[in-house]
Amino acid sequence: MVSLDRARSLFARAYLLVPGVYAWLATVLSPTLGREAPASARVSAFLALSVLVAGPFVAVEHPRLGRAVGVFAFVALCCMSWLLLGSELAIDRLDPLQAALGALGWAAFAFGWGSLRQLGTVPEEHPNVLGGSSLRAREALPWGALPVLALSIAGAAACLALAWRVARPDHSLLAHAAAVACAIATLNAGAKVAIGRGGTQQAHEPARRVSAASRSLGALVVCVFAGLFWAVLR
Amino acid sequence: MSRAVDVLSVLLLVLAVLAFAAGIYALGNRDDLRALYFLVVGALCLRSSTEMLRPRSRSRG
Repeated sequence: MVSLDRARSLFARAYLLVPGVYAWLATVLSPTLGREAPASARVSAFLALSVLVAGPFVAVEHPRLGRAVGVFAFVALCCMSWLLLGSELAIDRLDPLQAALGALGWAAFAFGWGSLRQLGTVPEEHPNVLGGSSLRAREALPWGALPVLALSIAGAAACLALAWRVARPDHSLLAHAAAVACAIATLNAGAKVAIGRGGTQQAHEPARRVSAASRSLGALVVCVFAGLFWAVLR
Repeated sequence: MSRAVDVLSVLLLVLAVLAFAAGIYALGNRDDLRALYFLVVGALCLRSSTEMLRPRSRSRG
Protein backbone atom coordinates (compact mmCIF):
# COMPACT_ATOMS: atom_id res chain seq x y z
CA MET A 1 0.00 0.00 0.00
CA VAL A 2 2.89 2.29 0.87
CA SER A 3 4.55 1.57 -2.45
CA LEU A 4 1.27 2.33 -4.25
CA ASP A 5 1.04 5.72 -2.52
CA ARG A 6 4.67 6.39 -3.35
CA ALA A 7 4.05 5.49 -6.99
CA ARG A 8 1.03 7.81 -7.10
CA SER A 9 3.07 10.63 -5.55
CA LEU A 10 5.85 10.04 -8.06
CA PHE A 11 3.36 10.05 -10.91
CA ALA A 12 1.80 13.32 -9.66
CA ARG A 13 5.24 14.99 -9.51
CA ALA A 14 6.18 13.66 -12.94
CA TYR A 15 2.87 14.99 -14.25
CA LEU A 16 3.93 18.45 -13.04
CA LEU A 17 7.58 18.17 -14.05
CA VAL A 18 7.63 16.57 -17.49
CA PRO A 19 5.68 19.24 -19.44
CA GLY A 20 7.64 22.02 -17.74
CA VAL A 21 10.98 20.38 -18.48
CA TYR A 22 9.92 19.87 -22.09
CA ALA A 23 8.87 23.54 -22.44
CA TRP A 24 12.14 24.61 -20.81
CA LEU A 25 14.22 22.41 -23.13
CA ALA A 26 12.45 23.58 -26.27
CA THR A 27 12.17 27.29 -25.59
CA VAL A 28 14.73 28.27 -22.93
CA LEU A 29 17.69 25.90 -23.05
CA SER A 30 17.84 25.68 -26.83
CA PRO A 31 18.46 29.42 -27.46
CA THR A 32 20.78 29.76 -24.45
CA LEU A 33 23.13 27.15 -25.94
CA GLY A 34 23.95 29.52 -28.81
CA ARG A 35 27.53 30.84 -29.01
CA GLU A 36 26.50 34.46 -28.63
CA ALA A 37 24.18 33.84 -25.69
CA PRO A 38 25.25 35.85 -22.61
CA ALA A 39 26.27 34.03 -19.44
CA SER A 40 23.55 35.84 -17.46
CA ALA A 41 20.88 34.22 -19.67
CA ARG A 42 22.39 30.79 -19.00
CA VAL A 43 22.43 31.42 -15.23
CA SER A 44 18.82 32.57 -15.36
CA ALA A 45 17.86 29.49 -17.42
CA PHE A 46 19.57 27.19 -14.90
CA LEU A 47 17.77 28.92 -12.01
CA ALA A 48 14.49 28.48 -13.90
CA LEU A 49 15.09 24.74 -14.12
CA SER A 50 15.98 24.63 -10.41
CA VAL A 51 12.75 26.31 -9.31
CA LEU A 52 10.76 24.17 -11.75
CA VAL A 53 12.08 21.00 -10.10
CA ALA A 54 11.77 22.44 -6.59
CA GLY A 55 8.12 23.56 -7.06
CA PRO A 56 6.38 20.13 -6.94
CA PHE A 57 8.49 19.04 -3.92
CA VAL A 58 7.75 22.24 -1.98
CA ALA A 59 4.05 21.92 -2.92
CA VAL A 60 3.73 18.69 -0.92
CA GLU A 61 4.08 20.56 2.41
CA HIS A 62 3.25 24.12 1.31
CA PRO A 63 0.92 24.11 -1.72
CA ARG A 64 0.78 27.90 -2.17
CA LEU A 65 4.53 28.36 -1.88
CA GLY A 66 5.11 25.40 -4.19
CA ARG A 67 2.80 26.88 -6.78
CA ALA A 68 4.48 30.28 -6.47
CA VAL A 69 7.93 28.72 -6.91
CA GLY A 70 6.98 26.16 -9.58
CA VAL A 71 4.81 28.48 -11.67
CA PHE A 72 5.48 32.16 -11.06
CA ALA A 73 9.21 32.02 -10.28
CA PHE A 74 9.77 29.58 -13.16
CA VAL A 75 7.90 31.75 -15.68
CA ALA A 76 9.61 34.91 -14.39
CA LEU A 77 13.08 33.37 -14.72
CA CYS A 78 12.28 32.05 -18.21
CA CYS A 79 11.12 35.54 -19.23
CA MET A 80 14.33 36.98 -17.78
CA SER A 81 16.37 34.51 -19.85
CA TRP A 82 14.53 35.50 -23.00
CA LEU A 83 15.06 39.20 -22.27
CA LEU A 84 18.76 38.67 -21.62
CA LEU A 85 19.11 36.69 -24.86
CA GLY A 86 18.22 39.80 -26.89
CA SER A 87 19.00 39.33 -30.59
CA GLU A 88 19.51 35.58 -30.13
CA LEU A 89 15.71 35.34 -30.12
CA ALA A 90 15.21 37.36 -33.32
CA ILE A 91 12.29 36.05 -35.35
CA ASP A 92 14.43 35.14 -38.37
CA ARG A 93 16.55 32.86 -36.16
CA LEU A 94 13.63 30.91 -34.72
CA ASP A 95 12.62 27.51 -36.05
CA PRO A 96 8.81 27.60 -36.53
CA LEU A 97 8.35 23.89 -35.80
CA GLN A 98 10.41 24.06 -32.61
CA ALA A 99 8.57 27.20 -31.55
CA ALA A 100 5.19 25.52 -32.15
CA LEU A 101 6.24 22.43 -30.17
CA GLY A 102 7.52 24.70 -27.39
CA ALA A 103 4.15 26.47 -27.28
CA LEU A 104 2.45 23.09 -26.88
CA GLY A 105 4.88 22.32 -24.07
CA TRP A 106 3.91 25.54 -22.29
CA ALA A 107 0.22 24.69 -22.68
CA ALA A 108 0.86 21.23 -21.19
CA PHE A 109 2.80 22.89 -18.34
CA ALA A 110 -0.21 25.12 -17.56
CA PHE A 111 -2.56 22.10 -17.55
CA GLY A 112 -0.11 20.13 -15.41
CA TRP A 113 -0.44 22.58 -12.53
CA GLY A 114 -4.24 22.43 -12.70
CA SER A 115 -6.05 20.12 -10.30
CA LEU A 116 -7.74 17.10 -11.81
CA ARG A 117 -9.93 14.40 -10.35
CA GLN A 118 -7.85 11.29 -9.80
CA LEU A 119 -8.38 8.50 -12.27
CA GLY A 120 -10.88 5.85 -11.17
CA THR A 121 -12.50 7.95 -8.42
CA VAL A 122 -16.23 8.72 -8.48
CA PRO A 123 -17.23 11.92 -6.57
CA GLU A 124 -20.57 10.44 -5.46
CA GLU A 125 -18.78 7.51 -3.79
CA HIS A 126 -16.77 9.77 -1.46
CA PRO A 127 -17.54 8.95 2.22
CA ASN A 128 -18.33 12.60 2.99
CA VAL A 129 -20.77 13.07 0.15
CA LEU A 130 -24.23 14.38 1.17
CA GLY A 131 -27.15 12.09 0.41
CA GLY A 132 -30.49 13.01 -1.13
CA SER A 133 -31.67 14.04 -4.53
CA SER A 134 -29.32 15.91 -6.87
CA LEU A 135 -29.30 19.70 -6.60
CA ARG A 136 -31.14 21.72 -9.19
CA ALA A 137 -30.03 25.04 -10.60
CA ARG A 138 -31.55 27.95 -8.68
CA GLU A 139 -32.13 30.04 -11.75
CA ALA A 140 -32.67 29.41 -15.45
CA LEU A 141 -30.27 30.90 -17.98
CA PRO A 142 -31.44 34.23 -19.45
CA TRP A 143 -32.80 34.30 -23.00
CA GLY A 144 -30.27 33.84 -25.74
CA ALA A 145 -27.44 32.83 -23.39
CA LEU A 146 -26.07 30.09 -25.63
CA PRO A 147 -26.17 32.13 -28.89
CA VAL A 148 -24.41 35.03 -27.15
CA LEU A 149 -21.73 32.69 -25.79
CA ALA A 150 -21.40 31.02 -29.21
CA LEU A 151 -21.02 34.44 -30.81
CA SER A 152 -18.24 35.43 -28.42
CA ILE A 153 -16.43 32.11 -29.00
CA ALA A 154 -16.74 32.56 -32.78
CA GLY A 155 -15.50 36.16 -32.49
CA ALA A 156 -12.52 35.09 -30.40
CA ALA A 157 -11.66 32.33 -32.90
CA ALA A 158 -12.01 34.79 -35.80
CA CYS A 159 -9.53 37.19 -34.14
CA LEU A 160 -7.01 34.38 -33.66
CA ALA A 161 -7.46 33.20 -37.27
CA LEU A 162 -7.18 36.72 -38.76
CA ALA A 163 -3.83 37.23 -37.01
CA TRP A 164 -2.32 34.65 -39.40
CA ARG A 165 -2.99 37.04 -42.31
CA VAL A 166 -0.32 39.47 -41.10
CA ALA A 167 2.78 38.82 -43.18
CA ARG A 168 5.24 41.37 -41.76
CA PRO A 169 7.35 39.49 -39.16
CA ASP A 170 7.37 42.09 -36.38
CA HIS A 171 3.77 43.10 -36.97
CA SER A 172 2.76 39.45 -37.09
CA LEU A 173 3.98 38.97 -33.52
CA LEU A 174 2.07 42.09 -32.46
CA ALA A 175 -1.03 40.86 -34.30
CA HIS A 176 -0.93 37.51 -32.53
CA ALA A 177 -0.49 39.19 -29.13
CA ALA A 178 -3.36 41.60 -29.89
CA ALA A 179 -5.51 38.71 -31.15
CA VAL A 180 -4.96 36.70 -27.98
CA ALA A 181 -5.79 39.75 -25.82
CA CYS A 182 -8.93 40.44 -27.90
CA ALA A 183 -9.97 36.78 -27.74
CA ILE A 184 -9.61 36.65 -23.95
CA ALA A 185 -11.48 39.94 -23.48
CA THR A 186 -14.24 38.83 -25.87
CA LEU A 187 -14.70 35.48 -24.13
CA ASN A 188 -14.70 37.12 -20.71
CA ALA A 189 -17.24 39.79 -21.68
CA GLY A 190 -19.29 37.30 -23.72
CA ALA A 191 -19.68 35.00 -20.72
CA LYS A 192 -20.74 37.97 -18.55
CA VAL A 193 -23.27 39.19 -21.11
CA ALA A 194 -24.56 35.65 -21.72
CA ILE A 195 -25.42 34.90 -18.10
CA GLY A 196 -25.54 38.37 -16.54
CA ARG A 197 -28.77 39.53 -18.19
CA GLY A 198 -32.04 39.02 -16.36
CA GLY A 199 -32.12 37.73 -12.76
CA THR A 200 -30.79 39.84 -9.94
CA GLN A 201 -29.72 42.90 -11.89
CA GLN A 202 -33.31 43.42 -13.06
CA ALA A 203 -33.82 45.24 -9.76
CA HIS A 204 -31.68 48.07 -11.17
CA GLU A 205 -33.46 50.70 -13.20
CA PRO A 206 -32.63 50.71 -16.91
CA ALA A 207 -31.60 54.36 -16.75
CA ARG A 208 -29.16 53.55 -13.96
CA ARG A 209 -27.68 50.71 -15.97
CA VAL A 210 -27.12 52.99 -18.96
CA SER A 211 -25.68 55.75 -16.78
CA ALA A 212 -23.26 53.23 -15.24
CA ALA A 213 -21.73 52.83 -18.69
CA SER A 214 -21.99 56.54 -19.55
CA ARG A 215 -18.23 57.18 -19.53
CA SER A 216 -17.44 54.27 -21.84
CA LEU A 217 -20.39 55.08 -24.08
CA GLY A 218 -19.35 58.75 -24.23
CA ALA A 219 -15.79 57.80 -25.19
CA LEU A 220 -17.20 55.40 -27.78
CA VAL A 221 -19.38 58.11 -29.34
CA VAL A 222 -16.39 60.50 -29.46
CA CYS A 223 -14.29 57.77 -31.12
CA VAL A 224 -17.00 57.02 -33.69
CA PHE A 225 -17.41 60.69 -34.62
CA ALA A 226 -13.64 61.17 -34.78
CA GLY A 227 -13.45 58.16 -37.10
CA LEU A 228 -16.20 59.53 -39.32
CA PHE A 229 -14.50 62.93 -39.42
CA TRP A 230 -11.20 61.28 -40.30
CA ALA A 231 -12.85 59.21 -43.05
CA VAL A 232 -14.47 62.34 -44.56
CA LEU A 233 -11.16 64.24 -44.48
CA ARG A 234 -9.37 61.42 -46.31
CA MET B 1 -37.24 48.92 -21.04
CA SER B 2 -34.82 46.69 -19.18
CA ARG B 3 -35.00 44.25 -22.09
CA ALA B 4 -33.98 47.06 -24.45
CA VAL B 5 -30.86 47.66 -22.33
CA ASP B 6 -30.12 43.92 -22.52
CA VAL B 7 -30.43 44.06 -26.31
CA LEU B 8 -28.13 47.11 -26.37
CA SER B 9 -25.60 45.18 -24.28
CA VAL B 10 -25.66 42.26 -26.74
CA LEU B 11 -25.45 44.67 -29.67
CA LEU B 12 -22.36 46.32 -28.17
CA LEU B 13 -20.79 42.87 -27.75
CA VAL B 14 -21.43 42.14 -31.45
CA LEU B 15 -19.92 45.52 -32.39
CA ALA B 16 -16.88 44.79 -30.23
CA VAL B 17 -16.32 41.44 -31.98
CA LEU B 18 -16.63 43.12 -35.39
CA ALA B 19 -14.31 45.97 -34.37
CA PHE B 20 -11.65 43.59 -33.05
CA ALA B 21 -11.83 41.52 -36.24
CA ALA B 22 -11.62 44.69 -38.36
CA GLY B 23 -8.62 45.88 -36.34
CA ILE B 24 -6.63 42.70 -36.83
CA TYR B 25 -7.72 42.57 -40.50
CA ALA B 26 -6.39 46.14 -40.92
CA LEU B 27 -3.05 45.07 -39.40
CA GLY B 28 -2.81 42.49 -42.19
CA ASN B 29 -3.45 45.25 -44.75
CA ARG B 30 -0.53 47.33 -43.39
CA ASP B 31 -2.96 49.97 -42.14
CA ASP B 32 -1.68 50.37 -38.58
CA LEU B 33 -3.55 53.55 -37.65
CA ARG B 34 -6.90 52.08 -38.70
CA ALA B 35 -6.06 48.89 -36.81
CA LEU B 36 -5.36 50.86 -33.63
CA TYR B 37 -8.60 52.80 -34.07
CA PHE B 38 -10.72 49.67 -34.43
CA LEU B 39 -9.05 47.96 -31.48
CA VAL B 40 -9.77 50.98 -29.26
CA VAL B 41 -13.40 51.09 -30.48
CA GLY B 42 -13.72 47.37 -29.78
CA ALA B 43 -12.37 47.77 -26.26
CA LEU B 44 -14.80 50.62 -25.54
CA CYS B 45 -17.74 48.60 -26.92
CA LEU B 46 -16.80 45.65 -24.74
CA ARG B 47 -16.44 47.79 -21.61
CA SER B 48 -19.76 49.53 -22.22
CA SER B 49 -21.44 46.17 -22.80
CA THR B 50 -20.34 44.72 -19.47
CA GLU B 51 -20.70 47.93 -17.44
CA MET B 52 -24.40 48.19 -18.15
CA LEU B 53 -25.03 44.65 -16.89
CA ARG B 54 -24.43 45.24 -13.21
CA PRO B 55 -24.19 48.86 -12.08
CA ARG B 56 -21.98 49.30 -9.03
CA SER B 57 -23.83 50.19 -5.85
CA ARG B 58 -23.56 53.85 -4.92
CA SER B 59 -21.23 54.65 -2.05
CA ARG B 60 -22.88 56.05 1.05
CA GLY B 61 -21.90 59.25 2.66
